[in-house]
Amino acid sequence: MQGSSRLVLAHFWAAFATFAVAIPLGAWQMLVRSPLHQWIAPELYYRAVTAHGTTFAYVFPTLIAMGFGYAVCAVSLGRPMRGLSLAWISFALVIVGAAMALATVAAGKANVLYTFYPPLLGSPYYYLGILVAVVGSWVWIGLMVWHVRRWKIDHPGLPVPLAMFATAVGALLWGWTSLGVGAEIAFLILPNALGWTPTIDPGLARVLFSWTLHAIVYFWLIPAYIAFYVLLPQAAGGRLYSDKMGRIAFLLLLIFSMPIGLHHLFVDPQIGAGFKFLHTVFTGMVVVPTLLTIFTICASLEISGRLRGGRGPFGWIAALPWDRPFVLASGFSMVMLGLGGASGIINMSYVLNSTVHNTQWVTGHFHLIYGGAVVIMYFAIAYELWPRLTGRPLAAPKLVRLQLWTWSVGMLLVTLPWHLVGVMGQPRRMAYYDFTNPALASQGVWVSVSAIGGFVLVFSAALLIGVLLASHRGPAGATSPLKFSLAVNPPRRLPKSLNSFGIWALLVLALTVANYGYPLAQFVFLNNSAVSAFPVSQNDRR
Amino acid sequence: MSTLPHEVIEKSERRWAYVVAGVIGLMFAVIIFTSVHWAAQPPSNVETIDASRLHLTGEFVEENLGTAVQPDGSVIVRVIAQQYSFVPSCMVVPAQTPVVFRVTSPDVVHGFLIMDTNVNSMVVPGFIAEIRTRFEKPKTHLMPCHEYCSVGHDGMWAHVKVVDRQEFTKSYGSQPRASCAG
Amino acid sequence: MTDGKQPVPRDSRFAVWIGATMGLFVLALGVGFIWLPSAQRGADGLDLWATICRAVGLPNGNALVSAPVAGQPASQVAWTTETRRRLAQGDASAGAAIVQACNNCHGMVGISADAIIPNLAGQSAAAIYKQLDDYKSGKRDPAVMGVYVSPLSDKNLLDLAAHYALLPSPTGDTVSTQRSTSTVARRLIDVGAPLRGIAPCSSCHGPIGITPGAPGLGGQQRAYLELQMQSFKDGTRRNDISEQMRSVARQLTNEEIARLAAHYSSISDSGGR
Repeated sequence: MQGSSRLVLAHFWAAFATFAVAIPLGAWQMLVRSPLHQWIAPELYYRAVTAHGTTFAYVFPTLIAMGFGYAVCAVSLGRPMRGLSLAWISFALVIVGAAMALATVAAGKANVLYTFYPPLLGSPYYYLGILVAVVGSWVWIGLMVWHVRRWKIDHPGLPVPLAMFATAVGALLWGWTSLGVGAEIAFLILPNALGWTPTIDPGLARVLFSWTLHAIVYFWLIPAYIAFYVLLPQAAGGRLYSDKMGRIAFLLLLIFSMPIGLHHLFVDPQIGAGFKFLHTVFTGMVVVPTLLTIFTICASLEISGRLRGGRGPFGWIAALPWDRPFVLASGFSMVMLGLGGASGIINMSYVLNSTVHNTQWVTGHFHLIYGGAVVIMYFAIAYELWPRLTGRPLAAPKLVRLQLWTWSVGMLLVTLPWHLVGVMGQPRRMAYYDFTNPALASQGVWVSVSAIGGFVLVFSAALLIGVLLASHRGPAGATSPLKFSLAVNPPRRLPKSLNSFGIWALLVLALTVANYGYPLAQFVFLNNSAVSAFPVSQNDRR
Repeated sequence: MSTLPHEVIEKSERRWAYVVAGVIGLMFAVIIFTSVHWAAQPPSNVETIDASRLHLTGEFVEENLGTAVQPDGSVIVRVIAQQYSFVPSCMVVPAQTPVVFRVTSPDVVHGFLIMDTNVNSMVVPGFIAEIRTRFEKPKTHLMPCHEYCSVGHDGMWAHVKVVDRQEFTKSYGSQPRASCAG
Repeated sequence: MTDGKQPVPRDSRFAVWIGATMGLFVLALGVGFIWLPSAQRGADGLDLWATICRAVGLPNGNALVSAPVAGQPASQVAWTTETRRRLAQGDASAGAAIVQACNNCHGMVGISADAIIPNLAGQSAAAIYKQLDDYKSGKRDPAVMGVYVSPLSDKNLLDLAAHYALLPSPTGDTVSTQRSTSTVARRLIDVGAPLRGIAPCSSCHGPIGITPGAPGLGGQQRAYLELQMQSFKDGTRRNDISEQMRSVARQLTNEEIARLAAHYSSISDSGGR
């Protein structure tokens, strides 16, 4: 990959290293809170939940998005990536920040969970670590945007390659949305944790966190969607149905992912129902690019299927090359996307949210859509990139397929019962439940099924790491260069609206002011909303 | 791909766009209709309160917690959510009566749901959470805290006892602030 | 080959998307701030304007608040930033200078010789300060302690609390020799009894968590512990803010109280410092 291979590999290996630790933690968490295990003293559980959540929210997906972004940059623009030393500095910052945060969690000094809702307070090193990692990733944003600008200057009037266009969208989205949690940490939590301010405003902190909380999942999602558009059609032996529709989808994600975060605060007392409804409407809009994507990708696959001899309205599905890992992973991903998307629509449905808020339904939902649909595409991307990064063919294709199967089956085993238990009313974030009580007894069997699913995932994770390791050390062999899918009608020219970001970024800014303006500004004149902090660590008495 | 001209693609995409618009529109229509028809909306009541002085003065002093019958027959249930209990830990309400829960916290963010109902709210210190509801049948519901409030969170379960209206008046009507907390 | 200066067809997508977004925003405003709140009219005598204000989230001086029942706060102490600041400024050496009267009952190093008189050595300053203030204000029965605390100023109380916090906690040979490994006690301490409304003792009293003013219990006098828990249970002691202890103690059986007292008195430290 023209000099970027080591950079991309470093990001992916670092990501999978954190993954290898955090997945077993997750399985352990599911086990100890199930009827299969006796109750444990809760402190260790919350330490594990904080570590697992912090890794999968702030470290793992960031590294994958960054690494994949560098790969796209190096391949799609037709010339080597520049600014490699900046990229390495960015990587170092992310690693240092992550290490600082996770070490603090491991020491038991930050049992605040990855949502760290103040006034609960952990060690300042935890928050500082996350801040360093987030700010470190901003260098990546700068590099992505700079490369697009540079390419456009050198190729006036030409369409920016779709893969790079979408990567830049993801970078811009991350830049804007990370400001919420960045501001919360930098201006609210850290001053409090360092003793500079005596109180903290939990309502304001929650609103700022919600600024980040939704769009961050789209930042995670965008690499998976990029893979759908630029890697899947090729892997299936066909073409992308519409390049233009891809751009439209990514731009819609840029516009509508962020100013919708209040749907995480539907039952919060510090926001009025009018703003809650406003965010419901705009959350409905962010469903559109996903529906567009499903259409375009299915149409693209249909081309491949029919080229391979599939007949009839559904015959093309069976005709697809499901033995190819990328196609297999994408199929699973779309199934989980459909299920997870459906449960997400329930979450966003205004009053209906009351039935599921902070029950295990929510946990089931985001594990299914992120841990399932998105992360399996991260695996697919890794498998696709590995030969090109290592110069060695992928080891054991059969094990790769087994890994993808076990991940999907495991994830469904884990998350589907979780949704059910949530509807039964099981609250989130508890280390143990009294399943002997008749009101809770019926939940027990489903929690046990989920726990077993967790161990299937551990097995799958071990397979993944094993295959990637074996492939990295295998004998060198000929590998074809990475190519991105061609569209059926590749665009020769594009209108400015589909080839640039400036105006759309302004639209996001305007929507942010419109949707978040009052909910944030109100804290300036609300009295009594600031309270003292409550340190979680026993050694940090106030 | 000469068998797939631009116009064919655009036409299929336009058709799909109508489907998408229909799906999203239907979603909004259902949301709006149910909200209007049942006069249901998420909590919408921004009220602040000094979290550290709850027990000293004002609406949430100890004697004022519990179920208070209003002149019009409805009830207000005042609850404190704290590390790590709800007070009163057993709330009693009459069935078939409008109930307003008013809940606040002196310390950290809590939340609660009442199992087998749609009552669900966050409790943010410095704010009063207000939930309006109505229980149809006598039953005892479990009410867990559903937001992590630090290490005792697992122990934070309360009970909501819904009793028949007549029984409520008989057994609890004479108390200014009723509870089944013992 | 392009030089970027060729005329580009008019790009209406900007206008269309921005216009549509603005239109959607206005529509959502109308529905969310006017139409839906209008369905709330009438509840509690709210008119349309009031429901709109509520939908915006304007701070609400609520008409629902009926005249509160008069009562007496459980404690005059509140964990405000002011209180925490004053606690942090407690002067241990000033406390040591006035501790003479206390030593007669509570022991020369804060470890008493009488099972009904609590050890104070190494106790949390917040816990000691609150109890002293509660004795002074009468919120905790001043029958025995009243005469000692009434001449003391608030600063004295803070200093005494700081002094005792620095003394070494009861260890090894000063705790009860009856080692308890009671699983009943251990269970309550580690995991509590959730559906009886009992959180793990260790989540408030340490070592896994400490809530403001919660005393450490390890190495405390057994009879004293048992008496306090019984007093919370039957309501004779009621200085716990918002019934934090009473609501738990009411659910404990006498047997559990006895086992907890035995257990805590036999271990060195529960971390409540």
